[in-house]
Amino acid sequence: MYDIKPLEEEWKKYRRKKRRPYIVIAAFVLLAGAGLAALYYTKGIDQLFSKGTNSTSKTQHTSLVFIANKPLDRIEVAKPVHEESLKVSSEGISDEIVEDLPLANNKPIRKKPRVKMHIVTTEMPSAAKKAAKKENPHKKVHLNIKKVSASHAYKEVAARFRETQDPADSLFLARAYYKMGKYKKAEYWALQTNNVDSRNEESILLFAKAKVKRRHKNEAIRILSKYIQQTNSTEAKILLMKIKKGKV
Amino acid sequence: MKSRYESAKNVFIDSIDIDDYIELGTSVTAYKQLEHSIDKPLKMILLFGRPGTGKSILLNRIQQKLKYQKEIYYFDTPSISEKEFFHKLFKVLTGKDLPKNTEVNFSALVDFCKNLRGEREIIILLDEAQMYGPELMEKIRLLSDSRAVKFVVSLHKTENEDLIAKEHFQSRIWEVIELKNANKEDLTNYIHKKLLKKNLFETANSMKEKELKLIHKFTGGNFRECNKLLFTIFEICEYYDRHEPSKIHYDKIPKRIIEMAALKLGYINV
Ligand SMILES: Nc1ncnc2c1ncn2[C@@H]1O[C@H](COP(=O)(O)OP(=O)(O)OP(=O)(O)O)[C@@H](O)[C@H]1O
Ligand SMILES: [Mg+2]
Repeated sequence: MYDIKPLEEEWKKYRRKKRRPYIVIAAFVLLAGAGLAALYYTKGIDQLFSKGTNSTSKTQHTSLVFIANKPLDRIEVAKPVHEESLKVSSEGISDEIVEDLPLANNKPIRKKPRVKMHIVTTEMPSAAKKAAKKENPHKKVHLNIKKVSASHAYKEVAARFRETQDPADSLFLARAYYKMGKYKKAEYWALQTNNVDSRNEESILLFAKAKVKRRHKNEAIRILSKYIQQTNSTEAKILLMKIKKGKV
Repeated sequence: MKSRYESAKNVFIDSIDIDDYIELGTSVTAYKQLEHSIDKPLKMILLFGRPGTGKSILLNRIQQKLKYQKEIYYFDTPSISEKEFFHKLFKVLTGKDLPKNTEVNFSALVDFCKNLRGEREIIILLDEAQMYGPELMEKIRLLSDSRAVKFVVSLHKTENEDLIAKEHFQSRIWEVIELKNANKEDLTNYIHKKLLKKNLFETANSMKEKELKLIHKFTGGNFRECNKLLFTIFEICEYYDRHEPSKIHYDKIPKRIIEMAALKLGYINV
């Protein structure tokens, strides 16, 4: 069994040690705050309001951050100037990936890969921070945050492929769709993979298998035979044999 | 039942399986450089970089990619003896095994190579070349003078080996390609794509920017260290998943677990 307890203990020690300076700072801030508050109260309510704009905005700031950190599906935050920047965008990609994509021959020019993790978070700390900074934080707007679903993530990968033309992404999609039984999409993505990486064997094999599933057995055989001629690939030979025997 | 983290863990077992090669910004640049250098009329090319920066996998990748167009061979860990090295080379050049109880005559080999000039161009990828002695390196250089055999020499960079590099490579006209540790984007892509290749979608999605930043901090962007750290992270996750599932969330890898793994590997300490 994995020896977790000592590790947990060690981690607790590590945390405690790391936290120490923060505790000191926090204690200091608290003390200073208490001192200030005491000062205000001794000076009376009127004075507090005439001088106190700063302190009110401060409390708002903290409360906003607090709300935003709650892992709720629906949270309220102040409305920023640019509403769009808050949206977790899921538009622009329709359900049908295949039909939406540019055809193989009007391939987009290969751009420098824009490196991004395509992840939709359930929290929006950055948005909340932006909102907190705005001048007029009174209007409220509802923010819907969706949890990422598998199909959404496939679309993210597809979108990324259009940008980076990375065969790993398209091959991933081909494999995934093949597994799901979506052979037309699998075929499409295998072809895309082959367009950007013509020596990619798996793309050929997947393409052929998807063709068979879509009852284009002869075409599959023709493609595989041609590939075998060029490369003498064993894998392809095995697959060809299976297809001929009707085992795919 | 198999925990989802078990498969994730296995993704990060350190290996140089060519099917697991991932196109990353820096590795693509190095690949192109190497491919370009191979086409130039150079005798030797030096691939240089710290341990774990992806030299071996890059050599394997280029071998796999070019094998239909060129005569290209990958020599992995160095042969124990010079004799064995020449044995291997003999087989590559002639396609035959050396007859029993015979040895390769070096000057005959050089002549053989000279005769191949203009007929064949053979590329030999020598991994872990810091383990070849200076004498053997000198012989390798003589062979490359024939211009029928071109060597790509991979060396890892430590202080000692810097010396070898200086002695052997600076005096001559070599093309030098250096591999570096990954930046944050490349490391993020590396982790993400490695998981996606094994269809571990949710696990990939559970590693968010903050966690990845921390991982980059702990590993300095070194691929091998990154493999070690992620293996340990998922090992801990697997344990919790099996024994104390309340301590784990499928949609996020807690910072605590990353730190525990870093403690275990000694990146940080109490
Ligand atoms: N582009 C990449 N795609 C996939 N895996 C990679 C890539 N680059 C590095 N790795 C992984 O990182 C690890 C270390 O890489 P590798 O063994 O090639 O390093 P190295 O530079 O040869 O190290 P050493 O000098 O110790 O031999 C391996 O597990 C390898 O699979
Ligand atoms: Mg190596």
